[in-house]
Amino acid sequence: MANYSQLIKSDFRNIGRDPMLMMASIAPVLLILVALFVFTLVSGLTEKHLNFPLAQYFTFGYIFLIIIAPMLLGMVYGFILLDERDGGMIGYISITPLGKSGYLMVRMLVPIIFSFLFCMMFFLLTGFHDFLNFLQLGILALIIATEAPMMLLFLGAFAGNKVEGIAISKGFGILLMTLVLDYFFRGDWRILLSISPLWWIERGVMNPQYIYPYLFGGAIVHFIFIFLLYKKFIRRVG
Amino acid sequence: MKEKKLEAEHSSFRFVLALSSHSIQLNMIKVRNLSYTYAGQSSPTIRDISFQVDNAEIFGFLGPSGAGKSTTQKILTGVLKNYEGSVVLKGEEISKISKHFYNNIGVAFEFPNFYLKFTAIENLQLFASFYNCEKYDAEMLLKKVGLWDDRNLKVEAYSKGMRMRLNFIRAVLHQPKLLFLDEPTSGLDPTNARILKDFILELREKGTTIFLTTHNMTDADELCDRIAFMVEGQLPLIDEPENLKLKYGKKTLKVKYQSGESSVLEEFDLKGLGTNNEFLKILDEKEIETIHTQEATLEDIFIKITGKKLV
Repeated sequence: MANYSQLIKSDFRNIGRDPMLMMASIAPVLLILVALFVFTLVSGLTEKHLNFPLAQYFTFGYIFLIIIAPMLLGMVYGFILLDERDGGMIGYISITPLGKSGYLMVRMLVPIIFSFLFCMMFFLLTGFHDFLNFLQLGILALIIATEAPMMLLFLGAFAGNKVEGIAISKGFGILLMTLVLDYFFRGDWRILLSISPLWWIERGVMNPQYIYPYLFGGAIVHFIFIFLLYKKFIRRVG
Repeated sequence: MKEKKLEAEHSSFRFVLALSSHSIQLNMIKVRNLSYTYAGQSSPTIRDISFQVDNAEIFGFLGPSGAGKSTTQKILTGVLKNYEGSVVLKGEEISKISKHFYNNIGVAFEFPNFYLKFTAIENLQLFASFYNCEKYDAEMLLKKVGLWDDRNLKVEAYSKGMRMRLNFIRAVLHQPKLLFLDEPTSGLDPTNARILKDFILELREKGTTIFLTTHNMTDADELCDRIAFMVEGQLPLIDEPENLKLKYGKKTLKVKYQSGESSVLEEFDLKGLGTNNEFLKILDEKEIETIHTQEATLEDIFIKITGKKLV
């Protein structure tokens, strides 16, 4: 474990010395604040002035926010990975006892752990435990947390540099549209959206009586995405 | 009688075993019939090369750009695995080693890569953490190559020479048994190059085997116990620098001496030099300016063997 702790520590140092990474790392905390205070505030205003309470959309809004957090953390670690890839560090690490596999394990696991903890905290603060039990929440948090390595590998596999990385991470955000399309529109065509890993999460939360099948499907789709991106990334770094 | 015969057979068997294990230990690197073809290429980059590097030997690997030196080094460090032939390091086939084997190997590439936003000491701490073995004290190493005062400077502010020195100490930090160095003195001023070369020789004295890839013939001449020339993926020549210089040189001696107002240069055959009256007369009567035997330089040999000039 000593091998990994120094690498994890150096990541914090890296983040601390880069204002953009620092902002992206703090952003998930802001998301919690938005969920807790801004939602209630805006809903109060719309109810008062438009007689239109937003509370019925809160759960969907929470899901939307909660999915952004692992994407941000994946982006942070993805940018570190891009720097390391372009600087030849991954090649060098591959000829140390840590190895490429050990290195990638750290790169993928750390944002997963942070994202998982974030999701659980978010669930508890926003009352998800009122309609899902802790086992369901744990599995859900784990699946959402894997958005982080997906983003990280997506950047590593397709971004030529950091600037391209920023553009690509915005493109990755398009996946969020699948949530909006599924939630606000009706029709059987929406099943096509199941190709998006996020669709399964939204469906599961919005239909808690079927949470397990959706979690199962979501886990498989996430696994396939991560597997394909991992393969693509490994081919890229040789 | 039978017991004595058996005992004698056993002892000779033990002797053979001891001999074979001794010979295994003598070779840090043993390469046999190595060939390598990159994916998508029709002809091999490395063509059936064989060589061995003994323990505590500095083995120079010379050759023009594109000859296959880097590919060979990548195979020897386990980066490229789908090779033909055999590459045995410390008794283990390199394609089958575990990650832990890398505790034995140190590599300093020609173009050093570091975490640029980290200081020198932070970089060393991070890389040291990847190894599970006894390490040198980073302070001692930084002081030895003259970087201690700049240890808290971010590497992005380092000059090329400073990065090369840091690159070198990163490679030796975990006390590797086998060290791969690629142009270690590139970009260094003569003083720092001397410090590094002395350090390399010191490591050899301590038992480290060093595989040195270089274009710098002075380094090769000064440091290497043996050198190999690589040309178009093959190794046409492996020998000690001294042998090569004699083999490819002219067996003559040039004397430059004062004669009146001007200098005169004369060349004599080394054979029978001690009884060459003309030569002895010059030594006796003239004011000698220089005397040089005409053994070849490694640069001459490099050009002759590879057909390419050094850049």
